Amino acid sequence: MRKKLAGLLAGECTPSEELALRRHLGDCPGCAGELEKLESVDGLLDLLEPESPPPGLLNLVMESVEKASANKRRAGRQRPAYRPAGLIKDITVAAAAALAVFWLGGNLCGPVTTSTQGRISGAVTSYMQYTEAAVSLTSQAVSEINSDLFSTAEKLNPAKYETGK
Amino acid sequence: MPETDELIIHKIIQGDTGSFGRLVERYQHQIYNLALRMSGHREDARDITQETFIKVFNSLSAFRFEAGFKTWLYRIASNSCLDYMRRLNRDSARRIERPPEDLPDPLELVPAGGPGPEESIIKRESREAVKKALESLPDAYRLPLVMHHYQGLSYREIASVLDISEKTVGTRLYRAKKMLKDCLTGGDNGEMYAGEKKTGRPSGWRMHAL
Repeated sequence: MRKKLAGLLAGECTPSEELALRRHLGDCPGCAGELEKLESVDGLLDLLEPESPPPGLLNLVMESVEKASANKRRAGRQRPAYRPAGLIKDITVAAAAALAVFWLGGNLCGPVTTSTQGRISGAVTSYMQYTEAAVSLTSQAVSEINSDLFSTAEKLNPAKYETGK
Repeated sequence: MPETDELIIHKIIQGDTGSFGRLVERYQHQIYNLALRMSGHREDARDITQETFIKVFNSLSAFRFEAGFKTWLYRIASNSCLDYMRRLNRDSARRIERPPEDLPDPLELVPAGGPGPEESIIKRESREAVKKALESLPDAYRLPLVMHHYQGLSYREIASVLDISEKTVGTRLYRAKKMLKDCLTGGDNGEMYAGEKKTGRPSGWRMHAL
């Protein structure tokens, strides 16, 4: 019951609770005395009056906020999700590497040449040779795979392939 | 018609940092006084208030609009108060060296035709005693008491801020007031200066555990 007295002072009781408490207080000097003491505590607390914040507080907060906001923007610029300059740089490096491979290809695999024409010719020749060899190897590998697949299918279903023969 | 907190927050999130000043202006008085009653020092209260608003600004993108801004703000402010005081307690050297809060000279408070110098001194001492008694309360009791008595928050609002039930809020407020009463008067047998609520030195005036 006594715990509800603070709620009564705070105006947090429902009308029915308040009615019951008021009735009880009329009959119970102990609770009535307790309520009086709680009221006195409220009076003491009122001695501490609200104070105004220091005048420069708003500016202080806004300065910090502006600084934090600027840091966020700077951090956002340093780590963008999409970096066009970086992408162009990467493509350029890749293109230069590819050119170097072609350029040196003739020298590494063919006769030693010093003239630009000779280098180009060597690079193109190497390219053609390697391309031709690669195409030939691929074609041979595909033929072998087809042949293996056909043999396996024939073994699994000989009747189907007999009619076809 | 004043802008709602939520509308201001939308503007800030969209990049209008300047609008944050309106939120600070709106709530700085309440947050500063919460911090002042929790820390007991103006300098600390200023730092806590500043820290609170900076935290609020940095977390605005995480604010869920279904929750009230005031509740959210008070939650951050309460945590800032508790964090700050924990840091301060760790730094015990600073606590010892801390000078007492300079209250206004009681003689300067005496208005013409008002209470005499003696009464003003008594009032000042009473204020200081209440301030110390309040500071001696455990945080779990002091926070709801300050929010309710000085900030005018309802049981429901306090319950929401502290994430406790309204019944617990009521219990803590009752116990906080009982502790204050015991602290200032020396328990149930001590005589509170009832009838002299705002002025005068109480008979049986005692300050325990301060």
